[in-house]
Amino acid sequence: MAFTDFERRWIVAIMSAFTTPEGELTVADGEADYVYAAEVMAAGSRLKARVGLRVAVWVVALAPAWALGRAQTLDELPAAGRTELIARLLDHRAYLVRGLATLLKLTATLAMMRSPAVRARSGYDRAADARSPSTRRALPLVTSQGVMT
Amino acid sequence: MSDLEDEADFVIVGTGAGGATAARVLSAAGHSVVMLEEGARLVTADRPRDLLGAMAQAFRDMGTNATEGASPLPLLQARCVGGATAINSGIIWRLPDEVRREWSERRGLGELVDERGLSEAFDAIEGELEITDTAPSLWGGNATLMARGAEALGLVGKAIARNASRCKGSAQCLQGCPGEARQSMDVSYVPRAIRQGARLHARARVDRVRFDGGRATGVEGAVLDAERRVVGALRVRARRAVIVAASAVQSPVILWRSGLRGPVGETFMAHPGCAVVGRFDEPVGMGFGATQAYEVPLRERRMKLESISLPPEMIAARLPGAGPAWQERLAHLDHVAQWAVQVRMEAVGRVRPAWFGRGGEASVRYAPTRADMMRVREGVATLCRMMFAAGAREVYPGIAGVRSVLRDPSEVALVEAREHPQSHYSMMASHLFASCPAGADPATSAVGPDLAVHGVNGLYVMDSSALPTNLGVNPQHSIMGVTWRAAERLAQRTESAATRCVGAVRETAASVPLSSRTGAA
Ligand SMILES: Cc1cc2nc3c(=O)[nH]c(=O)nc-3n(C[C@H](O)[C@H](O)[C@H](O)COP(=O)(O)OP(=O)(O)OC[C@H]3O[C@@H](n4cnc5c(N)ncnc54)[C@H](O)[C@@H]3O)c2cc1C
Ligand code: SF4
Repeated sequence: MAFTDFERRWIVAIMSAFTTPEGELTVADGEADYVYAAEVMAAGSRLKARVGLRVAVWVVALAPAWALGRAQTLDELPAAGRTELIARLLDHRAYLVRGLATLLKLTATLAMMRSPAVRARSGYDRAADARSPSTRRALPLVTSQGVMT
Repeated sequence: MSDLEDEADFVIVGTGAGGATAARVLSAAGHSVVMLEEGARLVTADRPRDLLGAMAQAFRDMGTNATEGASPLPLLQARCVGGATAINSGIIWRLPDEVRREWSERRGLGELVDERGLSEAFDAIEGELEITDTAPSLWGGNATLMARGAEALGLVGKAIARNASRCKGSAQCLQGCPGEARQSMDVSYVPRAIRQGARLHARARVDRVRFDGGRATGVEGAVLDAERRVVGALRVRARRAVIVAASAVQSPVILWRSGLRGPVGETFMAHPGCAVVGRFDEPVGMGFGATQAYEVPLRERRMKLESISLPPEMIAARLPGAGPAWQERLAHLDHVAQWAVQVRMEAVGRVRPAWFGRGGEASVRYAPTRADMMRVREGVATLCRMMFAAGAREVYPGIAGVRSVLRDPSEVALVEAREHPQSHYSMMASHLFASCPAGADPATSAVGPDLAVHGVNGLYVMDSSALPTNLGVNPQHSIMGVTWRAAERLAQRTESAATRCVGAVRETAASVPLSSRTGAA
């Protein structure tokens, strides 16, 4: 199931809107391949999930119309407006909307963290440097062999 | 076309905890064994470290499968040699004794789960798969903080026992252990069975069992290419028996497609769960340490709490919101901890083949009961309290309709203030059971006390689907132990039958017609 050109444009507009240029962890243009991530997700999924992913793209892309009453698609909103709208959809009271927006958020993070630079900026791999040794030493450890201190 | 034909004493469908253990035991007893696996055989060095690549390679349908209905519950499974053991955390728990006794007394499985016999099987597996408690040096910040939180609340926790004595603490179990420390089936029992003479055909999907005069004589299906396109027909003859071990979702589908009915697929059970994330001022370093290292078993409350370190992709998606607030949290992933609750739910669901879609696809109906959801809420609230007790600055309970960021222990009351429907949680299930339950009574069980399908000769189910109920503990060891017992007894029976017919005909069972409740022909 290949995405059409306008769907690809929507995918980039939606997924890049989870972050803003002002935020602490930024994602530069081209650093995350959102379309690739969406295509891999779609290719590996069952028909139902593939349709779900496409529906998610359409529902979020058309959200300015159904959520704000504006005759626009998401990519036509200013960047800040996109992010604000997506944040609202993630908290939407309708489970379907919330679920579809969350699916796109996961797809976006799958793309973002494939980039070594973005992943490095997240701090996930920051050296553990004997983390919280005081905490660890203070703890009695209960194992199946008994309590170790 | 590249058709595949083969023949063996035992044809085993699936190479997960059940199938690989059956292959290991039967090949050791000198029987010829063919293992058929729908997924690919993965080479450790080639397994991608990024989650997108890892999911595409090893997860069934990218992890997007879910139950039917208005509140789908994601069902996480693997599709590769080793089955779900190739992506699991290696947690090991023996079958709890009260569950063993219940199966023995109420299900008539006394011999199968005989205390001494089962204990010997567990001993053997624990020796072969290098089971040890996770050493404190491998706990990492995530588990260490969880222990601190549990202790502060007076909960009794312990180091998790795992099949990874050479674990280096890379927190990458989900992507496959880079050093093959974790003794998943793809690096333990599958290669061992091959060394003992078994043959493995990967990318070989079984669609149905073939019968002749009431006896299972083999399987047929499709040979797949790397993109899972059908490139040939699969036909494998079983001289003695077919053993279906394709998981609690796929095994009943294969039996249904083979014309078997009755209790097949009628009693699907699970341990669904969800996670709580917290942010700490001190560094946590979730990427350092064993993927899962500390647990708080709360069996009397039908739940279990575990530390769980996941790849950054998943943690990032789990942090609340979008935009600058999300980005600020995202920039400090090394300060984030995650712990989960798994609930031994009382709900019973149903598995059937999907109406449409490619071969093997399933439709699963499953709805947690109100009591189940109360336990989920209790588990989430407990985890939130543990987070604060361990020093969390912010806790993200992950329940729609509840404040997404809690900043004070008093706010945990918001979680408990009312009931939340299943759709308000981000739940998933990876412990799946009982869709072809074992038992003495054919009216309520799909397979008998020897795991043979009732009313059919030469057809067995040896995987999570054959366990009669869910367990309340991580299932792989119970699946392996029960399968070990059943396969050992099958090997003994087959041996004695074979010696009776001194090298002549290799049939062991007389052909009897299928029972009337099986539509197989
Ligand atoms: C992410 C994750 C983490 C987990 N962590 C733990 C843990 O730490 N400890 C624990 O005890 N349990 C854990 N589990 C659960 C445990 O791994 C499973 O319960 C167990 O592997 C189930 O064994 P099985 O043999 O029933 O099925 P599986 O292991 O799922 O194996 C079934 C195999 O059959 C194959 N198959 C399916 N259909 C066909 C077909 N038509 N033809 C041919 N082959 C087919 C599948 O591809 C698969 O390889 C985890 C599960 C997951 C998903
Ligand atoms: S934590 Fe890392 S080293 Fe340890 S078993 Fe898992 S993948 Fe292997």
